[in-house]
Amino acid sequence: MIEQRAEERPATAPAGTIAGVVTIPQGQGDQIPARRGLRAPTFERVRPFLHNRKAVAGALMLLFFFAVAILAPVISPGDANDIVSRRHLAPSSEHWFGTTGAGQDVFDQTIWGARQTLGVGIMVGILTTMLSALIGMTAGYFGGKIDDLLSLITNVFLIIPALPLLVVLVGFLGSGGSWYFIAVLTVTSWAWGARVLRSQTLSLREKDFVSAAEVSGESTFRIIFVEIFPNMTSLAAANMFGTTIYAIGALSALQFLGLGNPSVISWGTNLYWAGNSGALLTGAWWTVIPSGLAIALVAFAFALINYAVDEVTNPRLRAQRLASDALRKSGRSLRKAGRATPVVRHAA
Amino acid sequence: MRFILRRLGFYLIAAWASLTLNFLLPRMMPGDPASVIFARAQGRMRPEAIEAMKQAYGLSDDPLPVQYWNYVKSVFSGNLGTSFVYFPAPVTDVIKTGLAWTLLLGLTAVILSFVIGCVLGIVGAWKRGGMVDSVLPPLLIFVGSFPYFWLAAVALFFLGFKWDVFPLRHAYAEGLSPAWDWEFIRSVGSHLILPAATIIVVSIGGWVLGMRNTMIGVLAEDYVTMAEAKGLSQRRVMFAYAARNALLPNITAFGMALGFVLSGALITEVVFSYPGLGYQLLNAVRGLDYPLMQGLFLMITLAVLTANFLVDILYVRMDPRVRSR
Amino acid sequence: MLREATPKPAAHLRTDIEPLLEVHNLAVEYQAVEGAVRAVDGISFDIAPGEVFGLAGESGCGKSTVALALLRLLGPPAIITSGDVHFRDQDILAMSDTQLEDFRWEQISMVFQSAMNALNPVLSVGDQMVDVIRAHDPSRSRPAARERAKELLEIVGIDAERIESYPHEFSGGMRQRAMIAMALALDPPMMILDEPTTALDVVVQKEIMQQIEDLKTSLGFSILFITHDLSLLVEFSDRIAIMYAGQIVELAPAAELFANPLHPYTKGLMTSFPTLTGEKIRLTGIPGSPPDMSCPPTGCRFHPRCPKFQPRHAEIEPQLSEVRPGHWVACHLYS
Repeated sequence: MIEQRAEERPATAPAGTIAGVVTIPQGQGDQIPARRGLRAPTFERVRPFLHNRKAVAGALMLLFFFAVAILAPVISPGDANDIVSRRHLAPSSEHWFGTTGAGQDVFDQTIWGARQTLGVGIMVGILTTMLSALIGMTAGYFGGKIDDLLSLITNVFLIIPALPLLVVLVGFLGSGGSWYFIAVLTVTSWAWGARVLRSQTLSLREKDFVSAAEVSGESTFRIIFVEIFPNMTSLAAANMFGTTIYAIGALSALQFLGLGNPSVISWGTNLYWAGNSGALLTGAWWTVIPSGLAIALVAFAFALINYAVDEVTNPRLRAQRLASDALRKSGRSLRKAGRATPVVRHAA
Repeated sequence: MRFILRRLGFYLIAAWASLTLNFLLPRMMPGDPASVIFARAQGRMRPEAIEAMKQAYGLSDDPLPVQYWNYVKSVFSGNLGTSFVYFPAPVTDVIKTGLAWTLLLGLTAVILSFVIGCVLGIVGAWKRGGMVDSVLPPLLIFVGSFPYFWLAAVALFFLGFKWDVFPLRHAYAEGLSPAWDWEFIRSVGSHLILPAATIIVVSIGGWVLGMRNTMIGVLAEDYVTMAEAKGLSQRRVMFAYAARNALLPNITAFGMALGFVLSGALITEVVFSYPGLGYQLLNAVRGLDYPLMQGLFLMITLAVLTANFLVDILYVRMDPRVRSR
Repeated sequence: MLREATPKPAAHLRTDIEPLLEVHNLAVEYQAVEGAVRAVDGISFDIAPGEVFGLAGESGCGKSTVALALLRLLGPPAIITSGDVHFRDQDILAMSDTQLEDFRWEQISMVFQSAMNALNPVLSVGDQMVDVIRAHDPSRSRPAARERAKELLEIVGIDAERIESYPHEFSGGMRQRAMIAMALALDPPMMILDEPTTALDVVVQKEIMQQIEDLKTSLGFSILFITHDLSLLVEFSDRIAIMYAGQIVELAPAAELFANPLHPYTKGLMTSFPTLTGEKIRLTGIPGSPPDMSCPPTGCRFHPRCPKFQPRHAEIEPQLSEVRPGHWVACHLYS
């Protein structure tokens, strides 16, 4: 066939989900060929994405939220739990997002809420990716019985639904602080990443530079971490982001259900208190919208980046775009051209 | 056939794992389970309830393996204990109603979402660069980023509370008793719409994009080229040659996503006070109803495993290459 | 940027016979980020009714692109940027999607290289044959179409009961036969064979070629035979065109080409495969590798690999000229 068959790019988040998006393995593997030692310079990999509007928009949004979290004391000085006014005041110039059912400032709470939410999310992302990489690469590299066992464990963890498990865990073990939730979330979400990294390890394992390293007697540890892993960094990074978003969603869900620590300020607990104080019945929509929208936008930012990455790396989408551009120059549209090969003659 | 058997074996192992986890959970609580439970319940439990609970857990001074065996035996004989919150109803009775409602909501939402999503994905990929393909995906990605519970709350607020278009809670109107009459069915329907729509809106984007991506890959395959070379109608090529092959990885993804979408459904139930397993689970946690919590967890897990198994069977039916393995 | 097609005189198109297929100055470009790549650059040839026309060249020279372009089957980013393709009196390049649907397979059918990839894995072989029969003749009932499908399988030597089988249940050779059967379904006057035996082992290759030959003799269709294996063509074709870097560099009747290969590239191809009988010759490959089509060599595109290279060959493009009766070559050595 004329076009090359592209390598599969393993999906970076649970299938069928948007917070993570693009469900089916698609597109091309790393554009820069796998090689020994350290990976290719970061800029070379990043450059195609800088031209893509969606990627840039997504990245900017993420940076914005992280900046907000870090700069919270500057943007909203003082304790956001302070009661500053009457209850359930609508948004005004004094309180941009209005007040809660206890008279707190919603804007301050939203700003400060970013800290715990994003903080826990990132920690879960990092720890999970480390655990996934360890298990996934071990299974992928050693193969055989080790792989069978680790894959079985991974698949079992994968298939047991995470949220009900989380709810039941918290139900039995009680609630706790941030680290408690980080631990619990990590335990329930490492499985997906392990699968993805395992399959990538399997395909990298077959490459020549690995055989060369094995033959030359490099220690297994070195092979896995110095030869193989550097070629998976983009996949691991994408996985880390995906898990972060997932953790933010799961944490917020737990907090919304009242299973989190209610005294902590985070987007999830903000929504919990909003629900608890009858926001819906009193019509105080401003207590519900900001924190939920924040969660949605963070997830959306990541999804945009993922979507853009796929657009850039998927050779078929690229091919379509190129043909469409060329046709448009002659005043035709690819959509109307039908499916047959278009004929565009130009003057001799 | 061997494929099915292997999958069945895996599901049995997973079921055993969740059963074991269920067994361990109360024993993972800090301190001696019985006294912890008693202390937590603090006067909210009558002595009969405490005794029943001890029985249900097999909490005795027997060695752990014996307790485990007793537990497994009682589960297999259909005895999941007695609920605290709904005392003296057995857990199995409570779960039965919850299961029915969750199945209604979950199946409706998930099937509609998958079917509509796939159709949109197919059409989007076929009409290269058409409106379906350029406007819809980013929009669906945005909407798909909403947390289930948040969209549910917003929908409930505007469409239920403010504009009074849909009912606010529960599975059917208060005062109606379940019966197979038109009035009841209509009430069930109107109470189903908002929760189901919430789940569909959040999850559909994944299917649209997934299907679109596999379609784009399949459209470049030789067999699609040959189908067009044969002069088959566009509809025939699109459905019988392209979509049928592009659907296969999506069916696998459907299985993998079931657990995730189900979790979303459970949270949505809570927001709408829809009396399914999710709603019951939250109430059980709030009321420290440990037997019910365990029973619900087991039921939810079994539901996911069963659904996955059914999806596997569906896959085998759709892909002849797997059948002969 | 769409570059201009270099106009080429199509003097080698014959005027004595009414051709079945006439291709004039066909050019196909693939859009790429850095600019368009011209995979086919001004090809002209014709095929007479009942003729076997061979098209040979290395992989990447554009021959498969030609085949797919004839039926307008190329997907994005390919665009046909110049030329005319006429089948009898129909202008293929001007056809709409609907017209193409009628035209395809009825007038020109195609046997693809890899049957495993070209057959739909989820439909039975019989269903795929019934598809094409009923698509072109909706009035035919399913049972009637199935009967016809069974007939076709028998013609190529496959048991009619295999009509229910799926492609993965066939062996390689049987799959290729099934493809041939499918190509015959509508009794087309012309068939394109795109590397029909490349994916098969040598013994099966011979059987398939024999099958094709027998069918051609009994049914009388013309064939456009595309391959990199010149030895196959020499046995089987009436005329042969050699393609290099998107252009035809030599065109002659098969026997003539075999006896007197003129273009250095053709000579290289001839000496690349051993013959079982005849004189012992030294096997030489062709040094170097096919050119990068995004930036092809100037002048004669073969000059970087040509043993007879002279500096002026890199400056001027050679044109096809008739050096011996019916034998055309584009090479500075003969002009």
